Amino acid sequence: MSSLQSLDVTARSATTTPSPQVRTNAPQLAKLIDESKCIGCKACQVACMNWNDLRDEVGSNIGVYDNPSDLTPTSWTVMKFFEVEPKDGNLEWLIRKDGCMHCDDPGCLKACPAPGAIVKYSNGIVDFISENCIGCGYCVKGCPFDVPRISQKDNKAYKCTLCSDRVAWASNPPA
Amino acid sequence: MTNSWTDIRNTDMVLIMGGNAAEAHPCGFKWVTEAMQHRKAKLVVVDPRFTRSAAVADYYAPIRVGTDIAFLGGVINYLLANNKIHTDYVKLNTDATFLVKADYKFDNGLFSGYNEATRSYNKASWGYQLGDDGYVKVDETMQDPQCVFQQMKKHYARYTPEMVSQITGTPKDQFLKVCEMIAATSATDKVMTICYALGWTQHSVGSQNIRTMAMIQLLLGNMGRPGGGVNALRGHANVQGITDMCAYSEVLSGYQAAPTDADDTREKYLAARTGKPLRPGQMAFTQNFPKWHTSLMKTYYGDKATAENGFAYDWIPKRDGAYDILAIFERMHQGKVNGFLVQGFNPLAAVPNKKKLSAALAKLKYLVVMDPLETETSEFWKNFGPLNDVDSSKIATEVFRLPTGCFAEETGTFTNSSRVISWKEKAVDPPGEAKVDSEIVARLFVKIRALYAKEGGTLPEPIAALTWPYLNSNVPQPGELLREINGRALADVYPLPATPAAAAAMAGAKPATAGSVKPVAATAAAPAAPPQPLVRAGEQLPGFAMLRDDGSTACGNWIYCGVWSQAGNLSARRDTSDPSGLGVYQNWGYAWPANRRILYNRASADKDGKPWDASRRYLAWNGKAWAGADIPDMRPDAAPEQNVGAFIMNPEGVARLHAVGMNEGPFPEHYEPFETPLGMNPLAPNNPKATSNPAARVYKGDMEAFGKASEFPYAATTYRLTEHLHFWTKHSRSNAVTQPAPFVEIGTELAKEKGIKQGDKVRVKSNRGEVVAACVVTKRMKALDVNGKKVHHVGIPIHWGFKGVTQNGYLANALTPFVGDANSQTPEFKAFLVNIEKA
Repeated sequence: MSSLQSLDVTARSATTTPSPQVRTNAPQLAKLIDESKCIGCKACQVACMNWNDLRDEVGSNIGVYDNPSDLTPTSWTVMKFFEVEPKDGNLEWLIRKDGCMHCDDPGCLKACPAPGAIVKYSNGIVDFISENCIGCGYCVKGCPFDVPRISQKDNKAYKCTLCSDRVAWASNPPA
Repeated sequence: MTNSWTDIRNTDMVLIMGGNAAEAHPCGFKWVTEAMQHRKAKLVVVDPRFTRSAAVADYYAPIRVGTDIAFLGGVINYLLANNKIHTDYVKLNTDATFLVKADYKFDNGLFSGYNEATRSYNKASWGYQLGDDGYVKVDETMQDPQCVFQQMKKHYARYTPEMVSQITGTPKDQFLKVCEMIAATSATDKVMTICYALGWTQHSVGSQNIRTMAMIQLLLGNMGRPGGGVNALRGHANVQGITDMCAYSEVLSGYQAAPTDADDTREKYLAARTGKPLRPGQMAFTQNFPKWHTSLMKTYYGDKATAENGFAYDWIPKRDGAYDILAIFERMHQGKVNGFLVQGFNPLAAVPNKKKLSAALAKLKYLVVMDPLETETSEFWKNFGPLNDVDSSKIATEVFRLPTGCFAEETGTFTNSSRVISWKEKAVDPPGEAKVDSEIVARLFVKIRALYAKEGGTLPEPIAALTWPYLNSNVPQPGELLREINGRALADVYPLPATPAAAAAMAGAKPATAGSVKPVAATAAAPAAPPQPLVRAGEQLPGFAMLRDDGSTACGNWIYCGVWSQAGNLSARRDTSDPSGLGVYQNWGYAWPANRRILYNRASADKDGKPWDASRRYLAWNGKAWAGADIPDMRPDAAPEQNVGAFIMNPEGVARLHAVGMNEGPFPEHYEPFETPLGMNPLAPNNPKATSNPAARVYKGDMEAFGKASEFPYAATTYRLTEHLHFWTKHSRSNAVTQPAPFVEIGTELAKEKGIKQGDKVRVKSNRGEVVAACVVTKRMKALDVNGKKVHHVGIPIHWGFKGVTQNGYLANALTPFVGDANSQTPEFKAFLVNIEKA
């Protein structure tokens, strides 16, 4: 969502300016989910909308537990439910969190023509710097996982930030 | 819970049945996954639906709604037939060796003593044989055909795997697989826990569902042990607290049964509730009942409750009949209730058969609703189209809405499922003119008392005399209330004189016949040294052992005694140390009773006081006293050779496999739900009286409102979703986003038969009403083969209504039947009949 002094940018869309390189100790981050324990309670969806001050529309039920039924400009994390009956074996109810994968080699960033609208931090987070976004939608096409969504309201692209603002604060707490 | 949330991590196996812990208790459920990950515990789920709990389980078996006793009775039969019981434990801790009366009978679905006209039993033929000494006769070999063990064996021999499968629809191989997994925990060093919730209570046989499980846990030797127990997962943050305080007229605080018309004197009332040992040397802890009750009366009436006026016994109501919620609405429906004060409750959504409720509320003169939210109940009179199709012009009920604070807006305590009382501070003040509940009730009381003082009225004395010791009588402080509930000494409290029975028990001798020796005064033993008081007048009491029946103590709830002692507010403790490593956080909050974290914990050790399982040493006899990780549920100095039983609340000292207290029989028996897809009970196919619970109360008009399978062929059930809490969170935008609109669930096979596709609008009808909602078509609900017939289920989540920020919807209660459990009157929300069609 925004550029942060405490996070070094290692890659930046549509620009040739070299990245800062003075810091060397940035920890690499990833969010791991233990699928053997996940029950799809959607508390992460609620935490996401509350932390980010987002409230999606109250939708409708289209015959599934998935709600909102897909990622939107204001739902950056959604749980997806799959009922699978393997040939040999019992029914499984598979539940997966849908959202940005924070790729090591982000297709969205490569596709983005707006300078500095998509960045990759040294800790691995891929973030959209919304004020630089021109709403062209190339990131949508560039993403192999169909994650970014363009808002009808402000014509900008949105997706999961991996809580870059929280992470930046937590790893660099003020003295 | 007999055990605690944190104790679940000690288990070898978790059975989730009659509940859906992952869905309804997602935070507590982490202790289940903790046990799975760190102890390699197995998780087994038995449910009509493949639930969120099933999604992470090791094994899942389907079952038809309302047939849990058939399933569990089949487990008992399996355990007995295959000798998979913990025999030493059973002999030590249950009534298996006790002899049952000779004229006790069970025949064709009914127990002896049934009266069809009153739908109740004369229990005279049930229960134990007593010897001339007043004690129960026993047969240690358990061979006597009249002993409980043999009677139980005979009773459940009919529950063969074939019969179980025929009734429940659980495929036989799946049933046997679950039996096998359960049976493995009969080993001395293996323990299973069971987590259940409203999936067991909300049936016309709810109490017996739970009792059947308790019997299994006793046979396996899993009660009172770390990782074991029978664990009720409570559905609100403080529903355990409200149960403990028993804020209704059938039970007084601390589970003291309230007096009825028959208890016309204090002596009669106390005598009927005061236990006396049924086996030698037993604690029969309810012999202390007069102390608990007298202390409660002193809390109510203070100085006005005296020995001379029988501690004001005449001032407390003697009920003339049932006052459970179904009975209240029945009376209201008959036009016999003028006013109704609803506090933190949305009965139009939470009591069965909306049509009847709505008609009942319309007969009131006034309705007062105290709630933080605009509930459906408070707008029952308003037309919301088909969702609430009433004619407002025909409803004269005057409705008052008094806005209250919500849980985060008031200081006080929560009591959770683990019986742990936890203090919390408010986060913010209530908004606007809202006030916390205690202030509203206090202001009402002070006004009413003033009116009585001014105008008099019928029996004004109990109102005038009520103790109201709060600094600001309009605003009792939470600390004042909890200190009052804990209780204090009104005069110096001295040690009790030793009774001959207790003295004899200490010495390990047979006690003298009651009445042959007068109690010895404490001073007589040591006349030279004047006794020191245990607690001085005015001090907070440290525990219920200090309560007295002479008026020298006051206590608002005996089981909470100790929560705020002279040591301060123990419910506010937040120490996370766990010295035993068994998840026993003794200094986190305060668990009733006596800060005990596992009930019946003496049963975690064998007859010599040695823990059954060396790897989970919970309590042991050290030669002088019981000691270990927890507060002993036993007189601390009762040496094992004194044979004091672990189930101290029962006068027999052991747990009951044969329980006379139950209204529909001493052994749980399968009865069909009142709306049954079979129309008969396969265990008594020729006896229509035994189709559904013969002792369940059914009001006139409600029996006629039950539907038949010919018209309503599908078995329906209601339930919660993890995204919502009851009917509250539909007022919260975040929750509304994650589950925005009402839906019902059916299996793919039924959907195909009915031509219903995913997301279609469907109409679900019962004999009482209908709901229209989106349809979730799922592989998680399969048709079951029941008694040669295919039975489909229809699942109905409950969370929507005509108020809130979600999409509006029909209250699920339009469908549900007005009948309750024969003991607790908990409504049968979990098993009824519907039809379904594309809307």
